[in-house]
Amino acid sequence: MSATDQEIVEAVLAGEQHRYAELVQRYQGKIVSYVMRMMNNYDDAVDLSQEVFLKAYTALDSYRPQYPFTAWLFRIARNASIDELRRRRLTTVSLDAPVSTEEGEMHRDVESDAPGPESTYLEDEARSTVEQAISELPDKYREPLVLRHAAEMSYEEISEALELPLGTVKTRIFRAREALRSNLERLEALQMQAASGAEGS
Amino acid sequence: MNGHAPNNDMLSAYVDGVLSPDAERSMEQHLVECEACAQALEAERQFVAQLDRLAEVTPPDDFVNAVMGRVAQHPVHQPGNAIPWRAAMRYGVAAAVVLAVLLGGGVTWVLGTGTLQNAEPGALVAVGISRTVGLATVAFTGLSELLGNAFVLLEQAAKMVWQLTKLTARSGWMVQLTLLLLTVSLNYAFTRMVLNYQRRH
Ligand SMILES: [Zn+2]
Repeated sequence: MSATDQEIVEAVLAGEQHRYAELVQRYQGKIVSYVMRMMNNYDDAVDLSQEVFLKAYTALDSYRPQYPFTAWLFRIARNASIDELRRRRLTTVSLDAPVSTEEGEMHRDVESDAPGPESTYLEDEARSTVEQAISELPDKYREPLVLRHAAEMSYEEISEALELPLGTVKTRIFRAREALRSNLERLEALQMQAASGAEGS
Repeated sequence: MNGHAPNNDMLSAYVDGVLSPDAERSMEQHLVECEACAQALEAERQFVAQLDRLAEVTPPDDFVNAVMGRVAQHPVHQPGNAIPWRAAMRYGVAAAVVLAVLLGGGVTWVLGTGTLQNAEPGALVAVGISRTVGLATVAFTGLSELLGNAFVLLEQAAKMVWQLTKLTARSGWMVQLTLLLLTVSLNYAFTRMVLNYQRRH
């Protein structure tokens, strides 16, 4: 029988650093999947996921064993993803800001290398329509949906991780699926249009 | 089901197994009778299964090793270091509150037995502070003497302060603030009372 999360945490806190590998092994798939859906880029998701596990290790003594370990871990993953997205948004904004020179204001002739959702989609043809539709959801719907399906968390775990009442989590997941369905229909219609347009030319 | 038409929310909830037992039972009864809803349920199942494939992001093979390599550069958790600084802060503040309340009683006692006639509030505070310092010195000297011949007494006192500290730490900052304010006002009121009594005699 394998050890529970709490037992492993206890062992690591007691000085058995190598036991932490069991937790990484156990949750790497869920964390990478979750971060991937938040960041929309595999390499970035892997890098950030490493940071998440490292942060979790250094902060392990602040974990309270009466709560599920996944909820705690996902709260770290979530904060890391949000920070990273915010940092990128700030970088984009500062590049867009006009530069003051002696001749007056001018705009930087630089393109941010963080592509918007549109260009990412066009660049990466392998990305499925579903992923595209999910990335277009508002944060408050995308987050619980991604926790549910990419991270395979239970409703209770999501409620703990997002610090939302269980009822709110349910409503948001159902709304998210609803919105996703109409996003998908719209995208599929667009693809049909593009396909028939390509045939016509 | 109340009337007809289980909506998408209910189908979603049914697929995820988060309907109440009652709602689940009536849903099942209805599904037997209604072909349209049975088909809608099948569509919902497939949609959810499609979403569950979002979890299939595979971390690189060396992910665990990469994380553990970086973890190894961090200090090993020591059992003794398990008290997080937050908790230490909480106990520090609580100890300060307990000491202030206990010393506050001392100030009241010193002021009450003093001979301050017609004193202004400002003067009372000044005298209070200087006498608290005096009292603390006396208490410290007395405690050092006790330390020599009555160590048990000191231990009892420390235990009492520790118990009070634990109790106060658990009570939260609102209670701590209230205790402090209560001590200040009680001290002030009691001192005025004693002074008025002395003036009349
Ligand atoms: Zn029906």
